[in-house]
Amino acid sequence: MIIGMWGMLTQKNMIKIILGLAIVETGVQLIMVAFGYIGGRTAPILDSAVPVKDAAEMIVDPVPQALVLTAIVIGVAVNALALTFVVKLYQKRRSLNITDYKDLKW
Amino acid sequence: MVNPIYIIAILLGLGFLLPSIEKAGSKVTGTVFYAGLLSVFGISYQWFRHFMIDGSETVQILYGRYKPPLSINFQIGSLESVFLVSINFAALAGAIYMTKPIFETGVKAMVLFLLLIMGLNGLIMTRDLFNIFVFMEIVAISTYSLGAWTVLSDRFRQALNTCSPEGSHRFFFFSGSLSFIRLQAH
Repeated sequence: MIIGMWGMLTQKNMIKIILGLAIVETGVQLIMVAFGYIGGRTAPILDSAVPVKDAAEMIVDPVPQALVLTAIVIGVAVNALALTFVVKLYQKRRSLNITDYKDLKW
Repeated sequence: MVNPIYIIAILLGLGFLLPSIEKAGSKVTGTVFYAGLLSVFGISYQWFRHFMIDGSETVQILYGRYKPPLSINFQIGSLESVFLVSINFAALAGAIYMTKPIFETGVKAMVLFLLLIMGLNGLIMTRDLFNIFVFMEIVAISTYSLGAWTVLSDRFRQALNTCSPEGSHRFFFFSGSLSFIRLQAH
């Protein structure tokens, strides 16, 4: 995640900035999955090994995994959207360098 | 009382309907757009009256007759109704104020605006961590896109700038969610 942030903050090329964004997102998702695991517990699948009445104490919470799965899908959409913006900007000024776009600065 | 799911249903439904009736002309799409926003404001005002004037108790609605996380659950109380009526009033007033740029941009702006308002309404009403995340992302993505496709100068650079903190806002949300989940587990 830190590598991605470093890339986003130091790179001038807009495609590299978006790559940095993708790395940040992947890092965040990995952190979420890693910390969502609780030691000594099993996957959240109810079968003969996990009786329903003891499920709350035996399985890990499925919410982090569901959140990460959704985050992956949304992350792809956001990256595609960001790349669309880059394509539009490139069509306008024929440059991928973010310092060439200073209209919003004052 | 009108079920609050209709707030989501109307806004999302119109989001899909507007592109399909685009050929009918801007008068028709504009009328449908403003009628949708007005109806959503009407529903939220009805709930606002229900809680503030009649003094009713907080309502929790479980969709699909299951308990969360199997169903989406919404909660409306006095505080939620204040936020809903404020958001929908601001949306209606904002749409009226921005009539010219919205019509200049066309159906794209209307759809994104409706999705943005739907996300905000859902964010207020839902009591489910997973759906809070989903509605938060709907709000974020529609904001970037609305920024990009409105008739402002250098809009794509501005949209890219708003897109960049995407990873960090997700990190903060996930950190909070994880702390909450870990606290519950112990």
